[in-house]
Amino acid sequence: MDQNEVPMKSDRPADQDQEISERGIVAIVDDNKTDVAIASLMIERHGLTPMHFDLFSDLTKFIRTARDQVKLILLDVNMPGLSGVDILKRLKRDPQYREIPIMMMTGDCSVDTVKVTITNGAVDYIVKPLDPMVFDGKLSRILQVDTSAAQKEWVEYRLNQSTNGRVSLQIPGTLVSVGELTMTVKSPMSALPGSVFSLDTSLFKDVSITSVPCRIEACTPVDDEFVIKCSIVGLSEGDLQKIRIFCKSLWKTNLATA
Amino acid sequence: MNLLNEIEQALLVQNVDTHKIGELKALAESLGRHQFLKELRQTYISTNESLIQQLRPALQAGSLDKIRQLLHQLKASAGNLGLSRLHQLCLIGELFLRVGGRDCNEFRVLLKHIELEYAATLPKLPEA
Repeated sequence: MDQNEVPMKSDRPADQDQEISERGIVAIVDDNKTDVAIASLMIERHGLTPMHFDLFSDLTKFIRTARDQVKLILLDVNMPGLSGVDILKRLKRDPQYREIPIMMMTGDCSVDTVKVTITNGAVDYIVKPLDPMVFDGKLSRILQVDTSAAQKEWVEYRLNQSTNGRVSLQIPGTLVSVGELTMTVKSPMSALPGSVFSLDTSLFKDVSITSVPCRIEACTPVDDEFVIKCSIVGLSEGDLQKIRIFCKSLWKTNLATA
Repeated sequence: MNLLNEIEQALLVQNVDTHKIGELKALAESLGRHQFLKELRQTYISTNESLIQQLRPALQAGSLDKIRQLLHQLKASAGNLGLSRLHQLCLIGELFLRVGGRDCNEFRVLLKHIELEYAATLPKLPEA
């Protein structure tokens, strides 16, 4: 054990024999048990297996045996002993762990803290108390991007993120149907009903719309995918007119899918 | 930072954010985790009872870093369960210490409010 390492109190050590989801594992390093419980719930919602590690050495030992299964590390910034930033630096220095995306969790949303974590290689951060909608958006986004390109993309994403409670989200998938106020997408990623997203999409690029504000109305698992029904909310009449034109062009060319 | 003014403002915050609890409940129910809130409540109590008891001895010993850590932990747990006022009071204490606040008399007033708020919100924690 590292001399600076302080065991984090937990009565629920990482159970390395637990059943692992095919989607993989999200490792959580946090000394607050309620944070761990809530983050685990949100991770399970994505079909991933949450694993809580008390010690940095336990985390790295586990990763060495299951590197391909660990899709993300959620790391608390403020911990006794080795801080989250110390752990982040060590992981990013070591080629064995460098490519695993790390999202920092912090109750301190000061610019300095965020800057330190991002410049040391974290792909993103989330402010505690955890908000399910924000967490969902960030997790979906991280897990679908190529991790080697993740950092740059996340920095841009963070800068573009609006502050009115909406998050920007790219849902990969196939457009099943579109109307002037609704659309349905088949996607390998789920989305939280009730969430409001700015959906970045190339679907409407022909009519010069690159981002559509949407509210997720329903998300239903069908076979290996999710059918996501969204309402388009908050578009101007001008943009709605462009979507009408787009829909008509789809119907004219008899396309049921795009 | 005027601690007493900050406390006054914090006491205006609603003590429980029922929307937060409702959101967690819906999430847990959607995963079939019907006991989740009950488990979370137990985790909250088992962790924070001890934190609360450590605050005054830490103040008497002048261990300000320790107090800051304790408040940080309590703040996170309170926020997770939608205990907005307790979260805010802990946040104020943490910030006060971070900016070098050292007025023990004012800090004792804050600790008193934190202890009272902790006790007042225990019966309001979700049972299930």
